[in-house]
Amino acid sequence: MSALRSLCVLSVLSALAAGCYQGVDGSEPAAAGTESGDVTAGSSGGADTEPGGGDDAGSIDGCEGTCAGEAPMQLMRRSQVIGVIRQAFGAAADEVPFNLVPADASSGLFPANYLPADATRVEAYHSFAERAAAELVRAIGCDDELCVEDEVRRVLPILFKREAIEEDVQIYLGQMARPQEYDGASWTADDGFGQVLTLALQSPQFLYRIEVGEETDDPAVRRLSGHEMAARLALALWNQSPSAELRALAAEGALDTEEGVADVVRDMLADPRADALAIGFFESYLGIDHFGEHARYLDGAAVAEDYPGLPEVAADMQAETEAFVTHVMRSGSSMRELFAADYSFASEALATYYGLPTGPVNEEGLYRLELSGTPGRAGVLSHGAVVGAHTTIEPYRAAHRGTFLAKNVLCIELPPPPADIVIPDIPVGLPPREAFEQMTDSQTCAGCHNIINPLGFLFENFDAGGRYAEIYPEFDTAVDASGRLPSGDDVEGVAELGAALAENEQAQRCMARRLFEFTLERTPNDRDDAYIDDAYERLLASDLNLGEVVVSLLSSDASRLRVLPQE
Amino acid sequence: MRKGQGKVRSTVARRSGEGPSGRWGRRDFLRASGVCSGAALLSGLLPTLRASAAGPGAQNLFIIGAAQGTDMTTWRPESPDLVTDGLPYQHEPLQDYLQNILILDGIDNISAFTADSEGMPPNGGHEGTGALLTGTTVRRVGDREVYNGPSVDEVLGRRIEQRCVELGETPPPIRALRIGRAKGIADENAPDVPGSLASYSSFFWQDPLVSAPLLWGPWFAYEAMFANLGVSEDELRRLRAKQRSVLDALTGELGRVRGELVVEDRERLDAHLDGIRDLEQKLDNILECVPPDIGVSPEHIGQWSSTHMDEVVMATFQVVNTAFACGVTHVAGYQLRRQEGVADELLADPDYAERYAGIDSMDLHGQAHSMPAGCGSNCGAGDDVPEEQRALARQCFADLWRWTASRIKTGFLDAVPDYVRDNMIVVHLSEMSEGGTHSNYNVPVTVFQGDDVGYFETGRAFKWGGFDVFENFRPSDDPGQPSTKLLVSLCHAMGFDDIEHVGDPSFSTGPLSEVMA
Repeated sequence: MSALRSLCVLSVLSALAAGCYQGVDGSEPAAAGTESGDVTAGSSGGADTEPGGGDDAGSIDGCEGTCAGEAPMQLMRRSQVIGVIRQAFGAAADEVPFNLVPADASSGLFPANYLPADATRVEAYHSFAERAAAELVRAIGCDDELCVEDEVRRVLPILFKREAIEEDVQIYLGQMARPQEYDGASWTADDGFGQVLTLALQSPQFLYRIEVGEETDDPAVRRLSGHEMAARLALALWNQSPSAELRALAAEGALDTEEGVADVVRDMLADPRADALAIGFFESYLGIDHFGEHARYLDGAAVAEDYPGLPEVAADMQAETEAFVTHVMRSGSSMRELFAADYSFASEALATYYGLPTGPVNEEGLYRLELSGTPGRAGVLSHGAVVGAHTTIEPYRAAHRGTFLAKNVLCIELPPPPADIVIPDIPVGLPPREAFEQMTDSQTCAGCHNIINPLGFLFENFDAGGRYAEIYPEFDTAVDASGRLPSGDDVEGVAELGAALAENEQAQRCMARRLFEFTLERTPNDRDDAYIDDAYERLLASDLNLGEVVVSLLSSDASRLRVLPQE
Repeated sequence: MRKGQGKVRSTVARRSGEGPSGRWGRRDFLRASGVCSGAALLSGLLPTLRASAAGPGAQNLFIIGAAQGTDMTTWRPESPDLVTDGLPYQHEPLQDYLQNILILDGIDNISAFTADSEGMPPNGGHEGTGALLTGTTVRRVGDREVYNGPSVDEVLGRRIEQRCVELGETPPPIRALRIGRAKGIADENAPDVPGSLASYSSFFWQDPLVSAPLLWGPWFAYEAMFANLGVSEDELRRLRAKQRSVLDALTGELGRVRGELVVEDRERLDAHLDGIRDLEQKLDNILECVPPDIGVSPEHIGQWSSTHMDEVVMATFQVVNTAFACGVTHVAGYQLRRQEGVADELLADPDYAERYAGIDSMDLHGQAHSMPAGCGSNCGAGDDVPEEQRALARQCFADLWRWTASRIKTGFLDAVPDYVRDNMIVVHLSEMSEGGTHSNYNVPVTVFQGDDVGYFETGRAFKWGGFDVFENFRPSDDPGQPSTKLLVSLCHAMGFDDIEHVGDPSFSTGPLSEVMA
């Protein structure tokens, strides 16, 4: 255990520093006094404003012009760059060194590129384009210019997320010409094709989501064209460029109305390609996008000793959660199912590790795990990847888990700790819960830990390895997994937590906000609250269907209209 | 039609086993042109920092060590506000870069104080050379004094390599380019000559007890960088022509797309276009990796002719310039020969020759020991030097620092491409404050920071401690700042802000927080 402890101290400190202390300046955590459970992250909390409707830039109460927040032009997410290249090049893209695609820049919960590209990023795209093009040329294997021209005409509409313009095609084909410096030196079709692809893969038309829009009555507001809307939907839901079918729908005007967009989004959500949305969103929402880093230190010998078998099933844990969330989104998209399902999916090794019997095998080769009657396990929050991603050193585990739940799931903003905070020593000889309570019972700590601890202790039955236990094995005392939600509801254990969260207004509103952030790729401001409120109402009206939240958001003016950034 | 052959394995995978010790060709230089430097990673992953005061980190660090101190009376600024009150005499050549300059007045070369070697004074004097950048104390191994390095250049070079590997990128060909002469006068071609200053007079250390091999001058450094490149100049120019064709087309496309955008989006595309232009300049410079005419023959370097010092210094700067511009390394160090050698060049300079007509450069070290009027226990060698001569010696040391600053300006800061200058840090320092006291307190440290780095607060000076130029020790109740904090600051400025200490953590941890922007 000592090795694990030493490796984890920094992450523990950073987790504690994420906002656990009622400062000496008397600052309170944002939700400390909100027993009603209001969402506090930038929300005005007003459900009485109506978002603008119709096809023009409408006005709504409390807003001048449309109510949507500003939306700057952005680079595609890393996952979208990869998705579009895979879509364009199929199996040949297996050779592309995707690890060289620059990382996303967002400092928020979800990946996004809010800031303009700097010189370093431009250089990184250039370097990636050169190498990717070289690999693609080899894999595609054109040996004459006709083949290259066919490929260019085929891939440009995909890469540029719109119909190709002949001028573009001709400019790109111009790259095939032998440069003057190559007179007398070898110059093949492959060289020319490499030039074309190197240019295309760093083109602004590929890298950016360009939304020029059409003018409205308000000069600060543009309405997205059908093709721009198609690109927005395809990237948000599929990590892809619009398919030919989607482009055709755009050309027919099917994406010109709110209802039309809503219908198309529902169809797109039913497509297997929408797994990209499920995996992309829930990786960040559940905080398991860094699970790989967690798993790296799980390779250590001390961990293998403390948690036998864990290093071998760490990857299977991530696969479990991915399989589960894609299943939930494909089969009714129920928030209730997400948090309280009495089943999961696991490899045989993971099922054995969990100590659970296996059911039938699904399409991905994973066994269905029946959790009904299984103590403590239900819903996604009981998955090994989720519990493990928010656990480092055992005595601090409640801090990580409680902070995750407060921030990601309940949208509670916690203030930063005072700079001079001193982390208390871990009390010796006490079980994790008791030790952590003692460490955080000072007045300085209590402001935030009155929120964090009752949430974190709900996971107390799970150790850092994701194993369920009702007794602390080292102390031979019963685990106390009782806790309390900010709404004041007393619950015990993760199974009860999941059931309570599904019906909890704060968690439901937070889910609508998180889906806004992910699908619209921006942080909502006060002007967006009305759209989030609408999405929340849609969630309630649809018996907690998360897909309907996505439909509401992507078909709203917040998505279909673009408010230009103001100076 | 498509060829029928199977897929070709990724060159990235094939290359993954190569490291900095492998053989490098020009294609590798093209590919390793700085993308995976720590700073590049930081700004790639955390660009929000760019908008903050912390800055995204520098891409290159150049440390210039000038042994044996200076005359602190004309080195020290009188005011913290350099922009308003101007630069002190010795820094005046850097006037054009006033906004980029930071003067640190009060850095104590702390690890030199605790020399545990037999017979060494607690204030180590020359031992401070090895202590300054390693943050460790001297140790006697047999008849040699050595340090428990590595020095900060090595620390950073390793971290940059590690980051490259994590990113699947090709590390820079040279971990840290270190040029200069560490040896004393008597042993420049015979490092084991008894009585030499060699064992503790190197700034740069590769590992504990192992000083970093220094490339003896620019010619050898150039050979080390470019001798084994396997691509012909014609092929390199053809490769560059392909890149230029793509980037020209890209620039044209950016212009066309820009015209379609709403005004609010154009700034973003303009920033992208600026990045392309930077890249163009960088790639053009890679083309210049074709050996430049450094103007110094190996004969001159081998004999270490003092009459060619100016040429040697300027050529060295040109080599480091090329190394940074080409992405050959991100960390460089230059150990100027002991002041006596530089003094020869200075004394031959028409601007100074008349002033120092009575100074013999070979005796300058000895004369320096007698500089202060009430010189302490280290004095002795020049006690019988007339006061007039002592004053001249002090003035000579001041002009040596000023001379070096002028070469840094014209030979390096003016010469490097904008994209290098804007993203680099240059540090000019010495292991002791004054030759006369041999004091390791309050050593002179001047920092240049490029416009895009944003880590240090520049255009000003910071002063710590109650140091008196003519006193060998500080008042205990008015201390300076430990040099080990400066080392951590340099690491953080390069984007490695997880580094808590360099050298012995018992001296200090964390950066010089006061000087951060």
